[in-house]
Amino acid sequence: MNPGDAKPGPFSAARADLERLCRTLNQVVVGQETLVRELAIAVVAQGHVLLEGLPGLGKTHLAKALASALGLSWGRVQCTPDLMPADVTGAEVLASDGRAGGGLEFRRGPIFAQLVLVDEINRATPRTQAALLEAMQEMQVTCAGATHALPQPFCVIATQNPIELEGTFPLPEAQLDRFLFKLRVPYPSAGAMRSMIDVSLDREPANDVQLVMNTGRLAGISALCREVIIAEECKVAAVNLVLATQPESAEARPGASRHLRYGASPRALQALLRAGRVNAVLEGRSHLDFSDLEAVSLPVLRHRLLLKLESELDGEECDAVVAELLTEWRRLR
Amino acid sequence: LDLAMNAALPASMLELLTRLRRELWIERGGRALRITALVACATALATGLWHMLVGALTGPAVLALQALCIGSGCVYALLKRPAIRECAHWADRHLDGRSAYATLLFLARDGRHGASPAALTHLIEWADRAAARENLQRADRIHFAGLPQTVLLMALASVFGSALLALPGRDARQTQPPGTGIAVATLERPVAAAQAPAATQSRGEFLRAAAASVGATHRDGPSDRARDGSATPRAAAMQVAAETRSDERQVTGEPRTPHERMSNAPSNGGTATDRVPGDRRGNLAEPPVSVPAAALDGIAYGIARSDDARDRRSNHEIEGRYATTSMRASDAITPTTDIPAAPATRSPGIERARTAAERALVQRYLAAIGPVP
Repeated sequence: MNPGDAKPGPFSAARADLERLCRTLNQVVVGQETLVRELAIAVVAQGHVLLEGLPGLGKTHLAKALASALGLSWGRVQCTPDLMPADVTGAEVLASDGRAGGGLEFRRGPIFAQLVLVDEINRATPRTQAALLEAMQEMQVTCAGATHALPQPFCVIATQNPIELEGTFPLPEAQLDRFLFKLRVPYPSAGAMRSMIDVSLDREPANDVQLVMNTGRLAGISALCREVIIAEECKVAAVNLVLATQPESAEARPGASRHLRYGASPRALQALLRAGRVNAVLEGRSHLDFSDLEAVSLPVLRHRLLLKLESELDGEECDAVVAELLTEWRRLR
Repeated sequence: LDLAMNAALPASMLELLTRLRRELWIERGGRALRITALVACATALATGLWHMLVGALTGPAVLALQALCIGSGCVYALLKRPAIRECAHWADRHLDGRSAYATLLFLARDGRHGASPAALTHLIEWADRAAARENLQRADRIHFAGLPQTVLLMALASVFGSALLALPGRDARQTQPPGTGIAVATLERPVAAAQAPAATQSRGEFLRAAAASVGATHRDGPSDRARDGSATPRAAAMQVAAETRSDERQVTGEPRTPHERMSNAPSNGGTATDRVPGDRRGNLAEPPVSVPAAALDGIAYGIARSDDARDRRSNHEIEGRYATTSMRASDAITPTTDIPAAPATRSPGIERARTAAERALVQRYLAAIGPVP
């Protein structure tokens, strides 16, 4: 039993709501508990998520279920090489009121939704990607000199396929940095697949998701997470973890110097602490712990580290490097 | 903990930190004492080896060295009292504190830094409950892990060091008194032969005592050789004793000794018929002396075995005759013209052993030869 459970308070209530959200999503996407938890953390931390997984693993279902559970407006963009930025952000078109000389009006694209699923983002051209990622960063869209704010909360869940890379445009590192998390969608276990038959054989479970919390409650939990107390030791530990990934840094660990070309940015440090705070609330605490940083470090760091060419050729993966860095970080702190 | 922190921290957390501080102190002290015990063991071994191989060490010096080691360890253990901040970190790491104690301590010490009241209240409650739970679990725990082993190790070190120091040092072994060769003779005959002065000394006393006894009790019946003064007082004494014994045998009808029968010599006439060529006893011509074998077995055997290699042949003969009831005193006692004096310096232990054992044997010898009528 967690000590935080004994007396209800804002943090306990937030934890209960978040746990209920996770339970709901787990009923839709069976056997992906870790993925669901990390996705909930990212949404509450008001970050964007890059989902990487093979086709058919329920990425779209998960995004739809999340939007339904949180009562968010839902938008979807299926990226193709001929997708234009205006197809995402919107464009000015002739007024459609039927009157002559009615002028132009801005027609909003699918990005004007609180939860946007960008499917196969690596199939869009860099130009479209740039427009999309600018919107993700600035939370606004500028068209013909006019700025249009995106709805709040705003969350982009982009997916990409690790196979069939012909004709794709891999996201540049600078744009990958905009994503709070990069989550890998693994194959479900045998038991999960057996349960999936009962859940989603003849119906779409994402359409039946009950509302867990409204937008206001989600914003309230996000604000509460920002109140989580971060002790000086945790701040120092987070900085050390980020510095440990930078090969040029004096605090770089041997694993980073051996395998990494570029390390994590200061934005990664912010992402680490923001996500760690939500993880602390999910654990029923109002203070950050090292374990919170550790729990979110892999999805925060794995897409922000650039491997050396020889390490890539040797089959090294960022996850293994991050795990090695975490082991040393845990030992040194 | 100062008053401000006392006011800011929940009571259960203060209790937990205080308890942890004591336990960690004991644990660190125990660890320091264990290291000290190991160092003391090593010191005991080193001093023992030094004592045995290089040079003798005095007990106070070794004790001072051990006391220095143990004292340093104890002082180090006392000085290693953990800070309250370390206790909070330890509790966070090992007692599932999840950084709550360190965070709360940080807030209490450095100000609240605009922390949200809701978050602070939740944190205090969280830490309070966690600390109370830990206090319950640790209430009856006695944190003396490893202390018995430490004490045992130190005791073993002391015993070991004492045992090594009790052994004779290298210097003492090099200057060991030679009289101890008697005891070693059965194992190392050359060594015993080299260390024979004590046996020779005993033999000299033995003979002097015998001569004095003869001089006091046999004035009326000396043999010819004793009367004409050509023999030594020792030989005279032996001869008188032999005559007396022979007379007794004649009175009681006791058979002669095999030696006498084989040599066909008169019992009162010492001849050279039983001598071996080259025997240096040839100049003496002592008569055979009949004494109880049991009275002379021990001393004669011990003295004979400690003699030089040349005498071993006669020793062999003596040992062969011990089975009988008669023997010649010259067989048991190697005749030397000069009876060596006792060494100028002898260890008290050797002196005591000689006095106790050999004087008794002399008395037994005198009793055996008995009063001469």
